[in-house]
Amino acid sequence: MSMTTAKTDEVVKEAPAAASLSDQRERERMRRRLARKRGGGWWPYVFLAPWFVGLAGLTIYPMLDSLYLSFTDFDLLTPPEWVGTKNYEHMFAEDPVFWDSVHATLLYVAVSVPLKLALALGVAMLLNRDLKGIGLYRAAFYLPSLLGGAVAVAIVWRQVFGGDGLFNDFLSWFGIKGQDWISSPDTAIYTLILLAVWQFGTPMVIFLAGLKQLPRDVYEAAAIDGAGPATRFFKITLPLLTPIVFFNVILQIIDAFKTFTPAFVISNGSGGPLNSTMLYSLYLYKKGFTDLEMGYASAMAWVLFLVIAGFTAVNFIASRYWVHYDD
Amino acid sequence: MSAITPDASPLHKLRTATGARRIFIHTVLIGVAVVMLYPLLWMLSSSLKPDTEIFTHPGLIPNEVRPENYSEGWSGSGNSFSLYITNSLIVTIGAVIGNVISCSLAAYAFARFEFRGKKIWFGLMLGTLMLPTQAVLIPQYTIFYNLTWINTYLPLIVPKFFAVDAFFIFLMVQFIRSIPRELDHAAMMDGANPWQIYWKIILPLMKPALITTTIFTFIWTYDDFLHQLVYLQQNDKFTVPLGLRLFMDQTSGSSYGPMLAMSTLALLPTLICFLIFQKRLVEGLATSGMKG
Amino acid sequence: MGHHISRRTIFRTASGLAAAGALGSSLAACSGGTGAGSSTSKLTMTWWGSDERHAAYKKALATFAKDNPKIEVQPTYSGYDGYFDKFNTNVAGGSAPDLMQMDTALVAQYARKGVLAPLDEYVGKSLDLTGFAKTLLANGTVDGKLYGVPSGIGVNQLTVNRSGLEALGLKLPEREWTWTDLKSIAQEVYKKSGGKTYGVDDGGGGTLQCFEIFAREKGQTFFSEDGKKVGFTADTLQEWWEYWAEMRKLNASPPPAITSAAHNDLTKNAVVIGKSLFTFDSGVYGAGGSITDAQLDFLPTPQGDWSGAREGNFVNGGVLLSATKKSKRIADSVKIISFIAQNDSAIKDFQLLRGIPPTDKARNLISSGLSETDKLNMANADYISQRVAKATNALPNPVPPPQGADQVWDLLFQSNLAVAFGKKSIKAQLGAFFDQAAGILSA
Repeated sequence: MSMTTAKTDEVVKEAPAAASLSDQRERERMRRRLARKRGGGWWPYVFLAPWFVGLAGLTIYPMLDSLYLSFTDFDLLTPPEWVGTKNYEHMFAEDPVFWDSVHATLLYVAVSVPLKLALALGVAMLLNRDLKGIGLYRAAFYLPSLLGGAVAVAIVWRQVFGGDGLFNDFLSWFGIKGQDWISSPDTAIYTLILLAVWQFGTPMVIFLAGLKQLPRDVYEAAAIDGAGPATRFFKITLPLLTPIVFFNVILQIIDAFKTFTPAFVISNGSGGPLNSTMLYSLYLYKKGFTDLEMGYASAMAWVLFLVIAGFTAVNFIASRYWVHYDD
Repeated sequence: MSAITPDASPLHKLRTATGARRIFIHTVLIGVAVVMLYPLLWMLSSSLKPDTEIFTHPGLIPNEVRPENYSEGWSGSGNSFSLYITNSLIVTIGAVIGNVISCSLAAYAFARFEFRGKKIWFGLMLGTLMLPTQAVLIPQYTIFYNLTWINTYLPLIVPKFFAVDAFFIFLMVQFIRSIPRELDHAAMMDGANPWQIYWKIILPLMKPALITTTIFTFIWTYDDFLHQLVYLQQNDKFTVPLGLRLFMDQTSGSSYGPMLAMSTLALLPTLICFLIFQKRLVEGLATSGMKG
Repeated sequence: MGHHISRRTIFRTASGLAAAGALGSSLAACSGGTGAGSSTSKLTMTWWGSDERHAAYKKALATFAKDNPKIEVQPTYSGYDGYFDKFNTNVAGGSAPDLMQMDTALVAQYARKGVLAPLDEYVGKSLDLTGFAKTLLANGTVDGKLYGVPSGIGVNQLTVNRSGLEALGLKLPEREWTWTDLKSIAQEVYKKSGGKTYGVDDGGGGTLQCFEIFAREKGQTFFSEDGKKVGFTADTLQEWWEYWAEMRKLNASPPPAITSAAHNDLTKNAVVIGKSLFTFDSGVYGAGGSITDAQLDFLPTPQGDWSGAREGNFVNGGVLLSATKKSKRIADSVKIISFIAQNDSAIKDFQLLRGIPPTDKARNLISSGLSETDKLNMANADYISQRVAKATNALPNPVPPPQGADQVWDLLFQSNLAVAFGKKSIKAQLGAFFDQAAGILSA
């Protein structure tokens, strides 16, 4: 009698042929239970329990502490002293290096994120196939990312982009006489950007995992319909991949704003030449741990926090128009 | 939810390209790989040069091969480098286990349940990604100091069991959201409780995300310098990044050859981890999941 | 195997010297070191350095352990990078080591913040400083109290690629030489090498205090007495920058890209990469001795050739050993400090690894085992310190580097670079330098 409901409800695939009244009641109860489960009960809190503990104890408290410190003079060695908004005022009004770091960071984010993501997606598409030795290719492309911010990276990178470096050797094949890219204030930041792009392994692996997850039947249908590769990419792959693209965009932006290690190792902690690679987090670290102005560093951290939060919020709002979820 | 066997699908034909296309793809891949790996080749070749040659003759082919860099680096200063690798593996494996368990639990809750203040909690979770670690280092240090955990691996491992790496929660949320809910509903109809759904349905289906988490946690923990620097006080507790820095002292002398040799060697554990798990990543859904 | 100990090294005052001696026996109310060996926990000790230095420390501590089985030491050692970041975190978190290697550039800062323990009450008792010159102890003395025992004597010297010089048919200049002499030989190098090699590293950024020496030759100091502003005039800095601008123009000094690359990176030092033959960065021998195969020699920083030029050099103290104030093991730490300073076998373990040893006794003990270049280095250092001791017109030793000193040194370096890259004129950069330096030092 009520098979119609069962049919529209895709969940119940095999409704009993002879649905009795008690069956119907049973189903009603199920649906209520299901709604209750989705609506919560205590189950979500069980799953979130470890996270709540970590959040309260290991994250929120240190964050609030750093918020407090941002209104103090704190040299790490003696107790902090309350100074009100002095750190924030100094940052915006009187500190030229702060603005150098803002400039370097914005440039870094704006150039490195799109390049890195495009390369990661492109290579992930290339690697998402059954090809001989595909595992080796994947490893080869991931290898630079394995190096992370190890000391060796600094030495290698300075050797590649130095005056007598490999990059200039390469240019000389084309008769171009290169310069010392890493120690010129106009080009140093681009060597850092290249380093970020070179280590595109993280978004690549995430894209790969996402591509693996795409349902094959959709492609089959498209292939039967005779859709070309470009159509398949823009009409199927990209839309289905949007949750993963979104994730990578958000995370790469956050990550780029917070970039510390590459700038630290490449410039040996100096942010030079002429502050051109003084990324925000590097300056923050220098202020906090080298110049012993942890109050100022904390204030810088909160300004960065607000800026990133703003970017992320805008991204989330915009995502409603281009990200498609299956649920 | 029909299972698709790859060989039978038209898609497979589509992907198993013709000979000419395959050669083209190989050429592109090899070309890009060579450019990508060139700096690493330089590192490898320099790890075999004497210190005097590394910076004065920076070419790819060493004039003089000095394999002693490896033996000297391995025996290190007092502690064998194998100790640092062992220590790093302890920290890394602990962190991987913690992240996989705790982040998948939290992600399941965020992706599949409606509960009071969910949006705010989710925002908070993302927010924890946004504050630079350098700013919370001191307060966190104080916490672990009061727990008398300094000079142990606990500050490096235990937080992972409390899902402090929001990156992975977010990653898994995105993955779970792309798993059709119908599967949950079907299981629920069969009388499964949320825990069973998590354990029997979600976890197996989000394998690619779990593997991604494993790879990244492994590599990031293995490479993390700052936290290991401040929490580990005793040289025989040192990990690989700290061990590598022991070769470098700008004020009284660096051993560049052994440092580069050990840097090359230190890539192996992460490379092996990647090679093992990327294979699973490939298998992913194609073989294990989606059979309904 | 060199003597360059600290890249941030700057040198401690002699002004507080008499006071230091007088206060030697003062029993200042400091947190007391409790009974030696009474504690069961290990004494924690940290230092930075190279592999060789680690090995020497460990060997010396092993010898110490034989005579003092009750004092168990738990050492932590690393490179300089991150050493003080970690120390700061530890202090903030309440877990500073008991005993530590300290940088002469930072001792004043830490002493004034109450992090370090004054050691005066132990001097002459458990702390044996026989043979230590007072000028040397001044490097560990802050506001009249001894906070660290210096490991050795350090001076600023130019490092010269002698074999490179000889290959061009040029002779090593005399030790008594002037800035004009430096200019002419640096030009010669460029000409004779056919434009392949510049003469001398660009010193305009004040690499390791070479500008401070120039200012002292002018009768001015780097920092004012109270440390609240710089002690030199705009004219002096202008003259300095103009000198180096001319050096760059004459190709006597390399273009700024080379200077910038070498900042904080010895492997890119112009002498190491064969782009110049003279460098102010003594680390090229000290830390990087192994990365160039050139035969090195050493010269004092040039002198002024204007009338009334003074002796500009001064002597610093290598690295220090300091006890921390909150430690409960200060007395034990002092025993170790004293042992490392005076014990024959410890002295032999260290050779020149912590600088030229401070006492005559120690220097005699190690002199036989030195390499030729080590001997040249020590001879030149001797020459400079003797000249300083004899000089009648030298200013007193510099005041302890105030808080922010690091930032001002860096500002000086960056300013010279901005001029060299053509981003700013000398005049414009002078104004910016003094404004920013004042801001940093008055904070």
